[in-house]
Amino acid sequence: MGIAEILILIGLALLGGFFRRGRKPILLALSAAVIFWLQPGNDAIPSLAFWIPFATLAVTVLAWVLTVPPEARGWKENLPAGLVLGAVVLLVDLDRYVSSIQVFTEFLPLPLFAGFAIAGVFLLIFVIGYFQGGVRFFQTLLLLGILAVFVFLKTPQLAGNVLSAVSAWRGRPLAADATAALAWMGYSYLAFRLIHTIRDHQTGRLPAVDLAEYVNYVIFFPSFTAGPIDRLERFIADLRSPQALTSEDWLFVGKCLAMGLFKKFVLADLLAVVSITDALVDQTRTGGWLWVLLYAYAFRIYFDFSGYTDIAIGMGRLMGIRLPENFAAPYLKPNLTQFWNSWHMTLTQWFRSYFFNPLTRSMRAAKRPLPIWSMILLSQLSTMILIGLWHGITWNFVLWGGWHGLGLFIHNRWSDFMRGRMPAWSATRLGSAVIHGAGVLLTFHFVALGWVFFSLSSPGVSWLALLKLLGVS
Amino acid sequence: MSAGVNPWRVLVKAILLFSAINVIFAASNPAVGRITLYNRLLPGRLRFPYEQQPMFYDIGYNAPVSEDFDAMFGAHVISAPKPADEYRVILIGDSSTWGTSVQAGDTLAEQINRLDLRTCDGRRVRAYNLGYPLAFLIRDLLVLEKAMDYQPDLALWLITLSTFVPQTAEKEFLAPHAGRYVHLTETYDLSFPHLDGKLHPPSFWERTIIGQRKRLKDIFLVQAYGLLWAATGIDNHEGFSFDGAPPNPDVSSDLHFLEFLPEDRLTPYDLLMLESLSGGYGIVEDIPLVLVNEPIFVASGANSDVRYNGFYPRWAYDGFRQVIVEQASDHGYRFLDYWNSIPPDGFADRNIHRNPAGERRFAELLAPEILELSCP
Repeated sequence: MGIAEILILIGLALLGGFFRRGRKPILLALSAAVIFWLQPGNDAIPSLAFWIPFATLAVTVLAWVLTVPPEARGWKENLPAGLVLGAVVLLVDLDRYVSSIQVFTEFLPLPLFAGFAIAGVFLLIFVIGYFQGGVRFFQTLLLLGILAVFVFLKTPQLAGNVLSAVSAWRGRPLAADATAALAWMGYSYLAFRLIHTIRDHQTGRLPAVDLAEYVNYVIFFPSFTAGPIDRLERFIADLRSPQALTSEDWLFVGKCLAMGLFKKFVLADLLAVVSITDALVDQTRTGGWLWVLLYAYAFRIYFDFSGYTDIAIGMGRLMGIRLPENFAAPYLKPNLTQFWNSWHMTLTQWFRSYFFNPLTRSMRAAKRPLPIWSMILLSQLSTMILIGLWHGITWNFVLWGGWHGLGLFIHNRWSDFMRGRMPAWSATRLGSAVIHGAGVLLTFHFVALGWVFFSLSSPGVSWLALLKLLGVS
Repeated sequence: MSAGVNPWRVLVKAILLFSAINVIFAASNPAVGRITLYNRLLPGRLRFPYEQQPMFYDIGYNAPVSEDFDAMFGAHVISAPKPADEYRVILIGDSSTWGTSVQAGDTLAEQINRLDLRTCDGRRVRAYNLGYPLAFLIRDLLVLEKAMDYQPDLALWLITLSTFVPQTAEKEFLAPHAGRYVHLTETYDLSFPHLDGKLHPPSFWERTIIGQRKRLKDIFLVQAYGLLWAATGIDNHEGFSFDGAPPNPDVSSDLHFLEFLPEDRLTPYDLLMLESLSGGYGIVEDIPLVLVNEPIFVASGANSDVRYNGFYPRWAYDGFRQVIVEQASDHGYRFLDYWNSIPPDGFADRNIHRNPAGERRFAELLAPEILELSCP
């Protein structure tokens, strides 16, 4: 997203924050319109610019139908939200007839076909919701579908090949420079939120929410594309109790937006030009300079991501929603465990809740449990590799996840080993400061070396970079 | 957060402060371009920063700072203090001088430096590449004028036919330098009718931080790119495109030179020649200025009887040479004509851009002339 889009979104957040009466449908309309607006085009199937956001809305409504308890299903309280969503879809579809204000893509589906398709999708959702007996089955089906689409989207070559084939089948082969990659704006975070609500429903922890609340939570536009990943119960608490913004809120918003814009559009963009790339691994004259480019990347990715988060938190607060913090000075942490407790915190919390903890519990509950150290290794490694794969299904993301998984395991074992063995001087103020400083430096460099896998395209290039960084080549 | 702080007052104060800073900036017009990391923390560049298609997140090595001569020169190695034993030669010219098809270390200036020439009084000859892509005559004059701040001992002005043709892109380049342009024309009594009334000093609004944001952004970016320059020694990805293959000897049969045809005989007045040449000599005063007609690719294949290369049909280029030779002779300008001195395999394309071997050959041709001029 460029600065123009961000400023427009801030303007929309400001607008959304003005309303306390009718807040839920207004925020819903804004978020639904924004996801259509932000969805990038696709050269292979231009109408995907319409159908992908529509699918986002449809799958969200379906997930609500599958998780809503009977007491929250009433037509009276849910019909307005349904009408708002329908009105937004209609508005987007009609926009192509107004060439002077073409906010959304001009490549929209034919109205008749679109109308039937939309009606069909919602009829299907209604039927699924009507037969409540199969909820568990449909939930599982939906979870599998969400994961399958995730794998498809995160394997760029697969998605690109499929789109190219579809394009050729339609008699319109793609040009060499066409955008073949399939981008589903916000899908990762959509998937996290849907899985969170479905799993919580299955474990009986999901609160009852109406359609407007649920869809608002899933597609809330400030956090739709880059997080943070809020929890439903926390989100609706804010949504249900609109408060006028206090002076402190306004100052907080100002600080978040100013810092976020500065981090993203000044610091991150400046560092982007000197960050490590495949080509620069070869072109850099010495390992020392490659370290400089790696440091640039490390800070660029931090400022970029935390800048976006600051902006999202600021926009959320404008609308009375206190989105959770995602970063807490991660590069100043003295060990890797603390780093992961302060880097993309909502993501790690999500994986802890829905993968790490269940996995650990199941391993402990096994008839013949593995040794503790191997349970820790397995759970750390698999969690971090999954987090790696969330960024993209490539060997480099597997290596990046594995690097951190092993790092966390080693730190865990080291901490265990050192318990009660720390020398007396380490308890002094100076000793403690030295150990803390050394820990910060070591952790930062461990994380920075991990970015080699994250930033480069293949294990081969990453290996060359590591050799150069370590002065071996 | 402290209680009792009124956010609206904070906002109003911030707006007032920002407005005041803008007004002060516009009124004082600070030379931000002079603030540079080059030649201090970072090595100076061997040629001016230039990028054909500047990119942000993809690989790039440069940000164009042509709006700010201070930043251009500040990033250049010529801004480093001049050693006492240096005989400083500056090369002014277009893309062929800048070295579009070669890396920074292989340009004509660096090839001259590799020859390790010494003047008769023992000074080391050091050539500086002050070329800039695209042939703009007035830009050459402005660069030459600015270069005089850096104590050159000899100026080589590499010219070709395109240098002397008024171009539409000229105005875009010159717009930020309207003040310098006016100073140039007034000081040296020059007149360029095609630009009359088209260049205006920036308005107050254009001088504010908001108005200058692109220039300021590029100045910051070029400092950041200095890290890449220091790390790689590469300053432009265009230099990678040369694959070493000799250019195709065939050329088209098109008789056009820009919008001109053979019946449009090019006169010195069409070519802005009289003004510019006298301007150049006015600028350098006592320092020797040599006009160098740069080598062009001379095709030998199909249609080579009609055109020399992709740039020039024979009628236009022959006419230009006749005019420039006459001008140099009439006014006593020192003129070196190397138009066909580099064989086709010394070029990277079918125009005027040399490959590293061609640069080397050209440097060897210029070396005796430089040494002769350095020893009066």
